[in-house]
Amino acid sequence: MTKIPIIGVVTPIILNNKKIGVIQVFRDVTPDIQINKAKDEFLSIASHELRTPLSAIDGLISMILDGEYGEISDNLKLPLKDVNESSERLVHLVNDLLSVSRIQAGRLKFNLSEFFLNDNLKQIITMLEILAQKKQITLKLTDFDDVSVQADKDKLTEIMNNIVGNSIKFTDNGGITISAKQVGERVEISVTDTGIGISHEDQAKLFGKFEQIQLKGNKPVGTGLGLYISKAIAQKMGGDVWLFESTPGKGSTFKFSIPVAKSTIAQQTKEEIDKEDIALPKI
Amino acid sequence: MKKILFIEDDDILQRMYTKKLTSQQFDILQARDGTTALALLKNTIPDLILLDIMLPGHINGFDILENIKKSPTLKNIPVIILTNLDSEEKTAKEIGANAYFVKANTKTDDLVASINKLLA
Repeated sequence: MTKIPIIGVVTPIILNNKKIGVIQVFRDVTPDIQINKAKDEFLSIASHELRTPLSAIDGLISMILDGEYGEISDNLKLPLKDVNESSERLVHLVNDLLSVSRIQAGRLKFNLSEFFLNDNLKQIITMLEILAQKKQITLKLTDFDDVSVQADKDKLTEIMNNIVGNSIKFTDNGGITISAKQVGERVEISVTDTGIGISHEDQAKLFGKFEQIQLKGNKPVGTGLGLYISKAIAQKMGGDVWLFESTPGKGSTFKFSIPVAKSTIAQQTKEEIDKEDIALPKI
Repeated sequence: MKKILFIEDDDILQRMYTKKLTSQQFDILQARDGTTALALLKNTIPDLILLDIMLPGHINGFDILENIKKSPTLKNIPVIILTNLDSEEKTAKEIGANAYFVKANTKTDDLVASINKLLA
């Protein structure tokens, strides 16, 4: 017996407000599965092939700088550090471009789980503290009523790294405060900084692709894809990322929401993601 | 000296990680494909296995990992997946990998720290 993957749609036939029957339509989704498999394979191979030489460049330069291949002369230290920094930026760019490709191809995979938010945010902040310390600014998490949320842990970390990373990048004095609060069926995480703020004109461009805020006298840093990716991922997990408020010269507050575990939104999100998995099984 | 079997097909990365790990006093046994790796494992029991997923030939990293986990003599050896594929962590952990690193996103010191932790 040959098995064919199908998607079925059932529509009731209603006559004079009475259901008199149903029409069932089945569609063979073999071609859809094959196309998605090809997309997955292409993205996997592209990511692998792009990253392999980059990992060699990045790793070797770091090891040379660490003195693994012998002592390096002082006049080579700065150019080697520049190569190191450039290769790290290239790794970020490749990672971001691959994420955008996956988002656009509808092939971003989610591993949803339920977990308490407080410990997770603490871990993320511990990782980012080094960056804040380098700039001599504060980074703190205010106490909040802990709540169980539903999200992909790695993707939550990616979004927080992006939002808080941006705040650190654009704050030279003061610091960043992170807080969380349950609002209806979602938890809203606020990231407030005392940084340069964002002009009204730039606010409209923030979540577009390749949009960067141009600093006077400074070159923009990053790929300009971070907020676009963060927003797309958050929305897929049943939440969102948005700019809550910003005043040039005073600072900004970004918000990021995710569903409370077992809420209606959480269940709907899980069903949506599971449905994609069922509709697109591996063949 | 702890012995690590390092299965990696890229010559440059093989040289780079071998240099790093030998400087940390590990004895490195190299394999560049699945057939060589499985042949080596018939005669040698390393303390840890560092395993790439995409390998030349018809045996990939997952096949090697499955073989290791099915073998009574090898199943307890810690295995670290070191790959540039970022979407296979769940599968690798389900088969039994102890840790998963994407090479381009991993500092060599972090890899060494993970090896030391697993060998402690």
